[in-house]
Amino acid sequence: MKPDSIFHTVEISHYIYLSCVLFCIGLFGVLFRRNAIVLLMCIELMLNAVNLLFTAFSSYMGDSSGQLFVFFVMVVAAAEAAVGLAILVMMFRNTRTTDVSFLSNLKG
Amino acid sequence: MRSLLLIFLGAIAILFAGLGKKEIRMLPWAIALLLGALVFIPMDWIANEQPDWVNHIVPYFMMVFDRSALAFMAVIIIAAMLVLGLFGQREITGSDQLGLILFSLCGALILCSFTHMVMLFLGIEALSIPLFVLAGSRKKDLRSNEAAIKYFLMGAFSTAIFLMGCAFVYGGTGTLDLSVMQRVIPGSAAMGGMTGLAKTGVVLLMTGLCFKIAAVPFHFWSPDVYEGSPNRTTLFMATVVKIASFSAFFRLFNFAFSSPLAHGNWSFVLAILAAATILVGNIGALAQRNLKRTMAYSSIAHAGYMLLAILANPLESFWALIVYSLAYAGSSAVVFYILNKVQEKKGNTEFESFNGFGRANRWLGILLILALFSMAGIPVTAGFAGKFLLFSAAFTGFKWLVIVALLGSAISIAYYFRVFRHAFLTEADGDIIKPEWQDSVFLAIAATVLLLIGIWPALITGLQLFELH
Repeated sequence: MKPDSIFHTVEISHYIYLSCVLFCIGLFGVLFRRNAIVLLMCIELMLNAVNLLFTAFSSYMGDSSGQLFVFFVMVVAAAEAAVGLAILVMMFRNTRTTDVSFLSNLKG
Repeated sequence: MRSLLLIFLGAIAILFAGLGKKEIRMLPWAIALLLGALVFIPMDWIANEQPDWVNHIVPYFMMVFDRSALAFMAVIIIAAMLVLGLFGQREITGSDQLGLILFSLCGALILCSFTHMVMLFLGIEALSIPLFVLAGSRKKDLRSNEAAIKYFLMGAFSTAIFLMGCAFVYGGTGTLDLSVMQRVIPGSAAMGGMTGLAKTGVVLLMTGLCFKIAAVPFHFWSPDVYEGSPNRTTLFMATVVKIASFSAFFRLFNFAFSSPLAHGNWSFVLAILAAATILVGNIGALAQRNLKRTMAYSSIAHAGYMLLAILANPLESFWALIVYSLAYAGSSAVVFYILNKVQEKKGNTEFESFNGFGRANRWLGILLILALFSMAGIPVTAGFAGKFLLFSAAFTGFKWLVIVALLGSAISIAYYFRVFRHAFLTEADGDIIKPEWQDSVFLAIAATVLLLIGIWPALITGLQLFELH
């Protein structure tokens, strides 16, 4: 079996289901967890589900633009994580916690 | 292209100029930079020989600076100039903040001109990431921290949903190029419309973009973020970010998914979202006691009106959206300037702080009335022209939605009148506010825009989007 044929022996639908499941785990994590670090992890999980899906479609259709997109997603995700962690550190300095349930000063 | 490059290089230069020990005033340079970028736009407009994007498209470019892109770019640069001009004197300190604002502006300009999903994604991120930092730029202030972290989490979350949409659309159409996508989707019509993958993708894309423009039911973050952020950042978010996101929305949905069949698939969902946005925004604004929060809800309602432009026939609604965006940017700039000055004096933005404002400051009072009239859509202001054009463009396809929008406008008069009542009809003595001469110049620009377009909307709607052959 040639190494690249694994994408053809496993059907495309399996990749779609897998990345949907990963995406939903991330999504529900963002909705229900309260620790900011875990929230960041969940967002990364969602992005990686997207990357998997892009790669699978790209390989399935023999079109390289999807895999190119993945590089952009990874670079931007790194930038986003850097800014996000900086914001978290700033919040931690002021509140001494990473629990986002303190976010209730603004209401109305 | 030249304006985008100019702003990008200028932003880098300003960022590095701040490295030295000596304090240099960067603001005049930044405004000169924006003026330079603005000058390039009419030049590109005249030189533009691109065919129109409705009938024939130039494939295999990632960005196309056609006339529709240039028009949005001009509006966005004007909006950014108002933010810098009105808040720059004391508020924007240091070249780092100025650099971040300009980088964010580059993202906004990319959102006007993309023709490829990668550029759309990069534009959204280039627009958002500097803003996460700007929202939290008052480091010791807990409310600013909260705004930053909420904005960051919602921004990253919506980006992930948006990307999932991109992936599904890619799977469904086999391409990331908007022009190819536009040709592929009608081709699949013979097989019963868009494939399931593409449909899922469109819904996810719509969700991601609705987060960005704060449309119901994805609006819940925006009042908190708007209230907690520093005033200058709130104004930037409310004008530049919203207009840029709308230009992206307009370009994506009226370009890639514009075939009648695809339009039928998404337009009804979007119409319901628009109606909900208008009602929730206006009714939510009625319940507020704080002007900044009221403006946040009013900005949700404005997003609802602007969604009408995406539903209507793009050739009719394009100029309506431009006029509305200009009116919205001008009036928001005036209201936020006054709000900021009052907050400096009184320490908060509750309605009571505005008591007697109009008596103490005649000229600012008149400006406030003009801005409120424009937001409420009362004739002879640009807001009226924008609403009229928008509603008449949408009326052929979505009569019920236009009726909802009119109802929403009627509700909005109630809370705009409340500001008016506090500023003019109370006995209390307000503080006298003296704008600096630079501020007066930019206030005058905003007022001119509001009045000129209100009296003579054909100034803008008369422009030709395409060369007639």
